[in-house]
Amino acid sequence: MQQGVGRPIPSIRTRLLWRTLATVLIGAAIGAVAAGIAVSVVVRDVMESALEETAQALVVIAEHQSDVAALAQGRALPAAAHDEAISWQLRHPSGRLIARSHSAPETPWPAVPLAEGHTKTAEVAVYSIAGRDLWLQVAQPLAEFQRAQMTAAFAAGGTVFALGAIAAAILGWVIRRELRPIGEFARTIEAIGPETTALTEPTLLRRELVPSYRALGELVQRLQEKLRSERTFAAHAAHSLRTPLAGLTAQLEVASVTPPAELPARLSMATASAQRLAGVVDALLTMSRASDRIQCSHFDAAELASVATGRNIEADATQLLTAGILYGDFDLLAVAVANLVDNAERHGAHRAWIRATQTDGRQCLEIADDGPGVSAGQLARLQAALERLEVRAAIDPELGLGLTLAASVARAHNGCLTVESARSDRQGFCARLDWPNQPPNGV
Amino acid sequence: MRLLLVEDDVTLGDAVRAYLRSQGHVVDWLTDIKGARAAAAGKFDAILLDWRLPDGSGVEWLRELRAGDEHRQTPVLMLTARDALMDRVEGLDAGADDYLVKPFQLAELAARIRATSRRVAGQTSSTLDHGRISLDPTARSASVEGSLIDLTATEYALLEALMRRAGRIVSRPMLEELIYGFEGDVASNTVEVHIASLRRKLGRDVIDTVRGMGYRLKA
Repeated sequence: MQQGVGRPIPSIRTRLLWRTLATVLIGAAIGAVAAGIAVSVVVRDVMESALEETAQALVVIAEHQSDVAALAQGRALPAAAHDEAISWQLRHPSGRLIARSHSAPETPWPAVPLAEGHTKTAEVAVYSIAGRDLWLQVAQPLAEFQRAQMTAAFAAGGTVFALGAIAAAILGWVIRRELRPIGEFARTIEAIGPETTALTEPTLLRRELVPSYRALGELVQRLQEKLRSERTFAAHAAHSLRTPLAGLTAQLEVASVTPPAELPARLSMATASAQRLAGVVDALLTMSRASDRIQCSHFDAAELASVATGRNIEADATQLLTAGILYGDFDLLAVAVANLVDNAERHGAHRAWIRATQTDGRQCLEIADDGPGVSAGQLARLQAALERLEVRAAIDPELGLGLTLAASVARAHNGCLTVESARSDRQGFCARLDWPNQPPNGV
Repeated sequence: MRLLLVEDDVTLGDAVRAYLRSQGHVVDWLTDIKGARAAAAGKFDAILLDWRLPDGSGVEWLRELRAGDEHRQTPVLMLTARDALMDRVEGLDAGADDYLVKPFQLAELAARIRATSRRVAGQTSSTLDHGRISLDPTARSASVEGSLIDLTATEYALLEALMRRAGRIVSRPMLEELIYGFEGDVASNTVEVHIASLRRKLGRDVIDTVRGMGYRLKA
């Protein structure tokens, strides 16, 4: 990744483009050469065939024109000066030259025997054919052959290469056009920021990119939810820390101008605030650990009884003494219980009951109080917020630090936190932390 | 000034009340909306309101207050740990006149109470002036034609209450409540004693007695 950032390699589009173009052009070049060779061979065959056919036609004429020999007497037949592509010699079977075309040599072609078939010398290609008492040799300069072959080969090869080049250009355009959605996709990813709540899909979305867009959209939503959750947690933390801190600083400010007689009371309140602040810090650290690996072990429920002591609320934990052995992370559960008792105290309860039960492989810690409780509407909102936290780990502003912490501890134990009214007359508040009597996955 | 403090944190509420009392204010401190709703039937010069209270949202109660007649004009200062921009906006939009994030300095709180009260009363100066009398809430001092007058805390509070409602009648029970904030027990003639003392220090013709109703600073 770092290498990619420091020294960018060519893009997929560029690589695909160049490789495709190179392949097409190399293919076109090979095709052009092959076409040239093939056409050259064909042209040679055609020209040889033409030479042969010409000879066959002329020899028949020569046989029936008995006066040709007398007319020519070994010389060229009279004709106006012109360029001859094909020349011929009419020879006696003894080899003597009887007649010739005007551009044919005055002597027999050297190294051309009187034998039927094709013969090539350094300068000409000759076709020899026997007639009645004569031989006809029809020749064409080799340079003519080669020129015709080269012309045909270049024409064919050039056409093939030109078609290949045109195909490469069209292919390049098609590749660029077809890869454009990937570029748009990249720009969509690039545009994702902390405030992005949903992806804007292009109007023409390629089928192959639909799963990627969907996956990215879901990822953005999950990240947003996580971000919201973290912001809410930060707001919780800020709120929970700021209030006792404000109490502490305000008490110290007042204490600095308080008569000595009132000082102990002020300092006592400042100390209470400092202790509460320490408790909040503990709770925040516990919450942070609850989202990490937990350390479960068996412990006596009675050990939790001491957690709620030393508060301005009467905490009845006598049931815990006989509740037996529980399984879980004692430290996390203790902090959860302490925070739920603190919640009860802060919300006007005078007494709280802490109970533990075990049934059907599950364990339950219950903290109920005699406070004013909450309205049915607020209770429903709390329950919905707890469900959101349980399912998606989404911290909700509806929950205070105490409930958020207890729910996080329950979640870390693969359990859940539920809330309800402690009594049927909707008075009092009850929080129930329920988790399996089994080691959570991964622990 | 008579202030209503609604704050559920005991340590903070106690310190704020003690400090504001030391500044000459009378503070009624309540820890939940239920209590605050009952107390709000009385007159207050300003309300200091926490956002998150055990039995509901302070902002929701503020909306109720602004919707009613009694405290439509009463300055309300939010005291809260919620520092996010949207929270500030929501608090101010709900009807708060000022917004102070915890933790805060008590001196700043007192200054903001004074500033908010001035703003709501349409004052531009930091002093309250009426005729020859001038009152400086910051220094908690009073002067007549520029000469400083020596007042007790109770006398100062009574004079401030009269000056903030200059020209209007201030009821006797309200003045008794102010005195109660400083002295606890209020005898039947306590108000008369303090008013008589003020008249001696400020001049006989400064405060009118409106029989059966209360007192009024002369226009």
